[in-house]
Amino acid sequence: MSSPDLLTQIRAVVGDDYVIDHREDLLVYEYDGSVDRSMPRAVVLPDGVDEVSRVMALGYEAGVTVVGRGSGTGLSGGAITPPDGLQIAFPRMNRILDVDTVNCTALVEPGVINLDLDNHVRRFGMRYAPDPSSQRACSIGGNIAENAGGPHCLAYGATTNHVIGMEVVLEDGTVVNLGSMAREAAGYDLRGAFVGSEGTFGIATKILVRLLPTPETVRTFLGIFPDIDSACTAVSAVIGHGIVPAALEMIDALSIKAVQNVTDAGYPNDAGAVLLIELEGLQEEVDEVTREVESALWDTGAADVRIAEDDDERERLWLGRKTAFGAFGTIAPNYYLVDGVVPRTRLTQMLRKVNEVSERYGITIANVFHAGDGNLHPCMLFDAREPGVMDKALAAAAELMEECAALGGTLSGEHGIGLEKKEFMPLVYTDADMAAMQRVREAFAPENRLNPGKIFPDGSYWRPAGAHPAGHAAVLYV
Amino acid sequence: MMSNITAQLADVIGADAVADSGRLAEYAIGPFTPVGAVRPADADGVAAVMAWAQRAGIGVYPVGGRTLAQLGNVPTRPGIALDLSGLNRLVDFQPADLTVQAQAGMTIAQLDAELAQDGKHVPLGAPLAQRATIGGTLATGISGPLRTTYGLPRDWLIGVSVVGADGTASKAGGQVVKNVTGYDLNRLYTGSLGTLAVITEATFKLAPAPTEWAAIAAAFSDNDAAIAACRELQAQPYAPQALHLLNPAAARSMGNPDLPSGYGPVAIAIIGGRPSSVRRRITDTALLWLEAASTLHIAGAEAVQLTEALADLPFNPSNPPSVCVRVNAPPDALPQLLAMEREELAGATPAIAGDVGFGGGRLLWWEDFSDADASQIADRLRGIQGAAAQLGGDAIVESCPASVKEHIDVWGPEPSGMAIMRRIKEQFDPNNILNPGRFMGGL
Repeated sequence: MSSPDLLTQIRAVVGDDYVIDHREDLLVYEYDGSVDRSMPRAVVLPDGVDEVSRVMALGYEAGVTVVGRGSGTGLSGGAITPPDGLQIAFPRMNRILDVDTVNCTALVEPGVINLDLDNHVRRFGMRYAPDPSSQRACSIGGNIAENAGGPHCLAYGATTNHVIGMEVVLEDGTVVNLGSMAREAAGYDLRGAFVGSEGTFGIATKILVRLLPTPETVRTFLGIFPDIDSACTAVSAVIGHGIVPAALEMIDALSIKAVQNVTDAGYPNDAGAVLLIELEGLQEEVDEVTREVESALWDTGAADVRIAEDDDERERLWLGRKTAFGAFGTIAPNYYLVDGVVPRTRLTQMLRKVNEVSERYGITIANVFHAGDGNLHPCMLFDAREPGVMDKALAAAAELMEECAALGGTLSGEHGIGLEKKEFMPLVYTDADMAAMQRVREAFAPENRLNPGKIFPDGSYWRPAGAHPAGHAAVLYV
Repeated sequence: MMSNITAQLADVIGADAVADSGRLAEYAIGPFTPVGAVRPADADGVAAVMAWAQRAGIGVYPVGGRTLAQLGNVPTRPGIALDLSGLNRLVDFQPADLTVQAQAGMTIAQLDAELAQDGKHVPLGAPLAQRATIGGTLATGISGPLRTTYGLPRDWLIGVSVVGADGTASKAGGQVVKNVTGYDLNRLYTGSLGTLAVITEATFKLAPAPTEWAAIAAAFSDNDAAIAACRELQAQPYAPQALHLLNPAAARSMGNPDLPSGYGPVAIAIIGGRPSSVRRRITDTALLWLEAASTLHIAGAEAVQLTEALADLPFNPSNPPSVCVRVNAPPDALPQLLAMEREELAGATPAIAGDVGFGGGRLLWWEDFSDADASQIADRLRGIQGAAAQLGGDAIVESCPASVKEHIDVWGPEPSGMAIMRRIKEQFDPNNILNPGRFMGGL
């Protein structure tokens, strides 16, 4: 069956308006938040599981590749679709179907925006905890694919900790329920295997997520440090004292400068680094832990500790953190970042390596990251028009990933492997480790039609044909 | 055949690691007795045994502390017991990183003791922690009474080393607390009952251990009053770390004479944390529950013992239930769970322990059903599994007489994902040698 016939059949399922195949209309679907780019054959915008299933079945019969796309904020190339592939996107499936205050759950469609869900359930005294910095734009479906994180993962875990059950469509169009309405289900934990499978196992069409009650007390404060080393020591001191804050974020001097260029987040311009710390819980425990955290910060050389006086100030502190990557646009037009993780006690060592790499390659690197769980985001800032700079950035990123692995860490804490990091998998996994992973993919998608060519090294990397310079700093978040 | 197998195993791993035939009964799984048993000292030994079993085409039944050895369907092919208790070392404990790496055969109590030296814990809450092992806890996925707050074992596992059915060692995850590098096999292995691979080592993330524990037990006049009181408490910011609701029979089965009795159901709130927050939770809970018929405050070590007793209740070897069914259901099914009191087995009604915050709970019987009609009991249990499915969950028969097991899949009816589960099993263990027949759908 030839491709035009396929699109005709798909139009019959979803309607003429919901199949995009004109070149100019496809431009926005050819990239995500990563450095890669490739124009899909067509983009389909289905509504409802039945349409998704029928579209997938048609694609399966025609032997084409299918790639699911959330909001395209992903940073590892997960939504990049090969030229002959179909992309399925979910702007029409963006309903919050149910909020259950007894079970503390919400049933949502994959196109629901992360922050919209959180805002919606707050009126019921609950919240959706995973909060990637792209939460204003990213979708729950994309969060499932990448097992998305965010600052509050430190205390509450990543997306996988908040998904109870899913309705998913497999590569051949079969509809399957994974998990159940209960937080634990008999049989293999297919739900757990599916979350974070980067769209290679199936496409989620309904998701039952767990909500948490909003805490009685939230306290947000800044630890202001003369340099990044002392801020790292403070992170170890807090965690080592047995305190796991709700969030513990590091923002270095360059990032402070960038943030303060675009918004007054209340970060001191002359600081070497700041720690943004949030504590949550009962009033009594927050008061007690605040005192302990404060003394840990002072003991490790803090120049000042400032507590947000009210919600406005708290929101300003967070706004600074969450817009940092957009703010890098005031320093350089492009950026490229690494998502490596190290054991928390190795942060100082890792940041010294970042510094050394920055100097050796002559690339500016800013650091704003989830310090509490050791998840770095060294962010290279450059002008992609400069010849050869992208290759230099990629080479520097490779060195940083190698160092993370050497320090007992890993390649990605929350952005996924995708296209971007797949050739680096052997740094942390043996062939046997990856073979075990592939067995699970074989079980979910025997024909490997869903998002193939991602995650695992295969030498078929098609970056050179379609690479665009780098992230557009102004529109991206991390 | 037996001496032949013992001799072969001795060749593979050394005679010292092979149990003599007189000890095989210790490794019995219900009516099934393995034809050999080995206790390797390390993962290489496990790999050698698996490679041999693959060549010999013989089943392998991995065991840890044997606290839940009866869980699952009856084995379907002859095989050997693979005793992991020899792999019992602490590999690496990094208090400042909040991670610990230990071998699968280490007991939960040993692990707890190591971590407690630094004020840390991995809150698995496994039953019979003195004997239960890390590997067994992960393989069964069994959790404890604090699951509402702490989640399940899969939520704490960040890395795992396994030996596959063909003897190949591999690992998943790593040593860091946040990791999306590759597929999440940690979660797939957890709760797979050793049917996909043998767990040899695990890395957990840790949490600071609460410095104080307390509990409040309150009796209510009837189910409606108890459910209303529990739901109200569960919705408060000072909700306890765990909240369980026991029908009178379950409360009696705890064997704790201090628990309020002679009224209706008994709610048990378990509270842990820093002293200041524990005080606040106790005070506010007591105020909220002023209407209770009878209230008991329990402090410190006794609260910890009560928590352990709740964990142990379904598996307690000194008072084992004849039938135990775990109902997985959402929290709003609590009334229907308590109404399962009407589910009689040979005329006997169950004790019921519900987990208010997490949802679901257990139905327990201590009656001797050896003279009862096994197929009729299996029919009743199937009925309970059907009722649990109606509630949006499922029901696992965790223990029952062997004669009943012949008539029922203890894991319940096959779920929508069964075809995927079958393909996973075929991929990982194509010759079906790992715990054959014991998991859902005969996997």
